[in-house]
Amino acid sequence: MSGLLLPGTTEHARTVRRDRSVRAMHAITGTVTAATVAAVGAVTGLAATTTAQAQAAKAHTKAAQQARADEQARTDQAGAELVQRPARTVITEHVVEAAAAGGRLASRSRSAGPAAPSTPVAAPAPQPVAPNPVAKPAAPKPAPAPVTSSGS
Amino acid sequence: MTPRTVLERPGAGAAYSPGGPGQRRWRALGTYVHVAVSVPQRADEAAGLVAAVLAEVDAACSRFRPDSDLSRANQFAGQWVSVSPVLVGALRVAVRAAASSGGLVDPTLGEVMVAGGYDRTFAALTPSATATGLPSPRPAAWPELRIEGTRVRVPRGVALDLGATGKAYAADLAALTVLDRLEVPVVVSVGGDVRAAAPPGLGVTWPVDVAPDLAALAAKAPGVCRVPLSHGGLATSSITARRWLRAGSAWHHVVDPRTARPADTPWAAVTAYGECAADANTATTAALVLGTAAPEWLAARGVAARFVAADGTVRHTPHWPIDLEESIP
Repeated sequence: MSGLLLPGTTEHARTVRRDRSVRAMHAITGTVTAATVAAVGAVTGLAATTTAQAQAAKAHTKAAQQARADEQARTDQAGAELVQRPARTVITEHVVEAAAAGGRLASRSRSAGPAAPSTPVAAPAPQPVAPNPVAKPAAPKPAPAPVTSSGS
Repeated sequence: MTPRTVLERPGAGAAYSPGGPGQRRWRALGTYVHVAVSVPQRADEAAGLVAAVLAEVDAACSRFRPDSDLSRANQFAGQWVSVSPVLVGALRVAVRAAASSGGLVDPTLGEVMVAGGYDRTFAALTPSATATGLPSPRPAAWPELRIEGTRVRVPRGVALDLGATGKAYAADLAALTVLDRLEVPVVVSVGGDVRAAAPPGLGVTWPVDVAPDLAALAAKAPGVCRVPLSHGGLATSSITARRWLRAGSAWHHVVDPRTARPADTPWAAVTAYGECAADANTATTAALVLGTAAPEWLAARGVAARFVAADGTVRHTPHWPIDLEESIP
């Protein structure tokens, strides 16, 4: 019978006060915990926001650096504009290729385009018709005039 | 400038002069130009094409024109510069010449030529060209020359000068252009760098007069001869032409990249055959730079070459067609 507390007794009153204290303590603890959680969340969120802003700033800086690099590259290329000359009229790309490679001119289709805007040369003059070789012996051709290879 | 315009005004206002059947002669690129085709009726047309080609080469490759592609590439050394395909081709030829000659023919000696006083066209040079500090010999820069498509990058601190292979490249371009457009056998000489080209089966053998310089040719001096050329290239390089005084010292235009000075050579002139004019010129320029070792050096490479010493004596490599060599009437 010693565990039974009857209302109005001193023991009962003490128990009721203890229970109230415990409940109050729980309430305070819960409130503090909740506040702590909220505070941590707030701090974390703030930190996240700060990090995002830092990342954005970093990206912005990087973009600015890239823009400056691009601008520098454009400045470096200031002399790089191809000068379009009207005189570039006769040299075709495959002739340049052949000359640069040190070889002979490869046969090509006549539709191959020039390396640059081209003004066509005058139409070739009609070729003289060769005399019939059977009718009379061919006259000996005159020797070609010499060209010169000398220091200059 | 259209080819017809060029026909009316070749070179700097000079007129074509017929040198014989189917041949035209005038001056361009600071030197003489001879063109001959096997169909005399087409000589003017061929000359017009060659003049137009040389005008394009001058606009792209001249060291003496501030607006040339080469001058811009030199001005922006160390940076990529867009240039004409004509200059790209010339640089590919120059790099090939440097590689095949072990660097004896170097296209990056422009600053040496300028320091030596050759800072303007040869016709404008004065005997007492201003002497500036001469550069010291340096490691070869031509391996650092970069070409990408139609962009080039000249190594920082050096300048291009295509005085060695430029005219030969021009002769190759000109002959191939005439062949491409007119489809007739043609031979072109640009200052002694000669290229013959012909359609398949229509070969012509052209006589070529070989001499250290035009004065020696006119005088029929020792060492002058006539040789045949049916296809490919023939070139003569000489130190008796294009000479000037720099602060009292005699200079010529063939520079030894190993010393950054005019080549000290026993040869007055060297002539060689090649697959093209540029290859022939590479052989002759390298021979002048190499000096006494040149005959063996070219012989070992199978080059047909002829050497005229300062005293007029002549040597040949074993491949030279000595039996086809004639005296000039």
